[in-house]
Amino acid sequence: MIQQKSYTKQFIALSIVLVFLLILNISFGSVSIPFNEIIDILFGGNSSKSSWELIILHFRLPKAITTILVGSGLAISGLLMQTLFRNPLAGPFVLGISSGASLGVALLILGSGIFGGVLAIIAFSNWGLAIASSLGAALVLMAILVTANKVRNTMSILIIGLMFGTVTSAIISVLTFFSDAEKIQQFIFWSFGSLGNLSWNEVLVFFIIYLLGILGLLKVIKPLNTFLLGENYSKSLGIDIKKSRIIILLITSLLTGVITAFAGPIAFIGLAVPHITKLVFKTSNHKTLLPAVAILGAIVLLVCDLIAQLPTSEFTLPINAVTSLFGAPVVIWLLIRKKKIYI
Amino acid sequence: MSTKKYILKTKSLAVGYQQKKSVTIIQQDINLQLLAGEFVTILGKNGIGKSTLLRTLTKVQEQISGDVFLQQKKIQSYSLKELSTTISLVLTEKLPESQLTVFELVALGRQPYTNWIGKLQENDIERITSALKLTETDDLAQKHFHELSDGQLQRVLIARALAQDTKIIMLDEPTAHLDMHHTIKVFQLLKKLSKETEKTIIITTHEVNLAINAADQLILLTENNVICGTKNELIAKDSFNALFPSDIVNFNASIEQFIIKKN
Repeated sequence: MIQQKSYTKQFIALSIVLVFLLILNISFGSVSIPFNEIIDILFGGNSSKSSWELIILHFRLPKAITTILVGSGLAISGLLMQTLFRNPLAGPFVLGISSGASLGVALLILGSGIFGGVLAIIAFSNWGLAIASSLGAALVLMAILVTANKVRNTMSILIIGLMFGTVTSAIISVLTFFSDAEKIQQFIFWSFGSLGNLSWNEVLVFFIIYLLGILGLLKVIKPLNTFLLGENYSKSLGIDIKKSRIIILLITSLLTGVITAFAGPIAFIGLAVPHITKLVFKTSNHKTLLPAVAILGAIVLLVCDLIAQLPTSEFTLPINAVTSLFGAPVVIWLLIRKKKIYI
Repeated sequence: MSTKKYILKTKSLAVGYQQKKSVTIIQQDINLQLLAGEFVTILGKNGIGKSTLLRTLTKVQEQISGDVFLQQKKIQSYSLKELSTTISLVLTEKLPESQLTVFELVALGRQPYTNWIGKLQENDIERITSALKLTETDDLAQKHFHELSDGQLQRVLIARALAQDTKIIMLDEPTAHLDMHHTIKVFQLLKKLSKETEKTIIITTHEVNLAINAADQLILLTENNVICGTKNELIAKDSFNALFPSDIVNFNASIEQFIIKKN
């Protein structure tokens, strides 16, 4: 009998790396805390300094969890889009979700300068930003689902998504044009992306929405694999293409929407991690790929976050810059070595 | 005669395209009666409606009028899921590039039978193994499908259809990209499979001379009508000459082959 490939070893190795990086990520920061104290605090013991406890439990731990959620969520979304559109250049943001979120935030921040009043007050709260970008993402999501229902061709959805992105960018340009420097700076800071600053309440809301998306994945593992043969074969294997397509779009929108809402538009991870995973695992089977991209996405973003806070220990680089600066060369190097990419 | 169980039957079927108000009929009055274990070839010149007929028989496209019966049941009453365990397909379209292995590709044929995550049970693996063996592709199982030659890939796609374990397999021009040697090999394979597995195998093809000698039944699509029968029935009716315009190729009944007309 022919054996199926097993990836248990790779998964164990990756999980160990993930745990190691998680601890490393919590260990580093602008305040240096002894390692044994960190372990004590994490496992519920008492620390010699209460400020250390505060830093670990209310700043670094939620930040590390956010990093894992963002990294894995973006990588999963990227994989979904690459398979759905059978296009290696697709990423989580091709649908224009992040542009929608950016528009929401731009309207709030830049609009508060132009229109003043209540907007100005909301603009300075974390929840305000999250809600604004969620609304923006939801608006684009609804537009996509409506078109997905009308358009038969999957590729058309890709192009329509790109058009949404262009339109929202244009609106943001107009808003920027009429805004003062201070507001523009605030908006640009948001667009740098940020993994910190989330309270436990916010992490909880983030996690619940993330979990909804992950649960949806269970419905589409089989359809995703048949999509590898093209839509006609998929249909002849009993797959309801329209339904599967809408579930995939919903999952992606939920994940990217909530991620952009809480962490800003983080580039690169969603496009690159699926490629790195496919090069490492040499498979296209989503039963293996989905958990693999999730773990690798978390690992890559944890590394990026480490790099972002390491250099001087005083400053933290914008996470968005690090993901691209560090990540793009890695992907270029991998592709030159392997020569071929697959969806 | 009435005791015979037809696997696929059509009754005054008309195929074509329907756009809002205008209806384009490509072929009509099609009456087919196909049995289990038959190797059936659909012949006809380009643009005569072979693919349209195949698409209608697989419910990809709706018929204009008439009926298609799969195992005595109207095709409209089949759900996607039921259809996937009754008809399997081998298409001409190129597969998107991916890193699927031959084994995984063939295993996808088991999808209609597996659980929500697509876990293969022992029975599934047996089916896959036997499909690989029947098509002599078992030694390719761990290769990625993009490493295969066209001839190997075609056999793997046939293995995938076999693994789907359906009463009917339909193939759209299965020898389109193959050389003479591999074309004949595919014909022999399909003929052998229809006999050994009792499946009804239906193909569209331009290899008329091979089809005439291999097929149990031939379906001829001509300008005027659709004729179905065995080789001898069709020769007796002189139906083959209606297949192409007579200026270039002619059917020679004594050698049962089409030959190029000499000037």
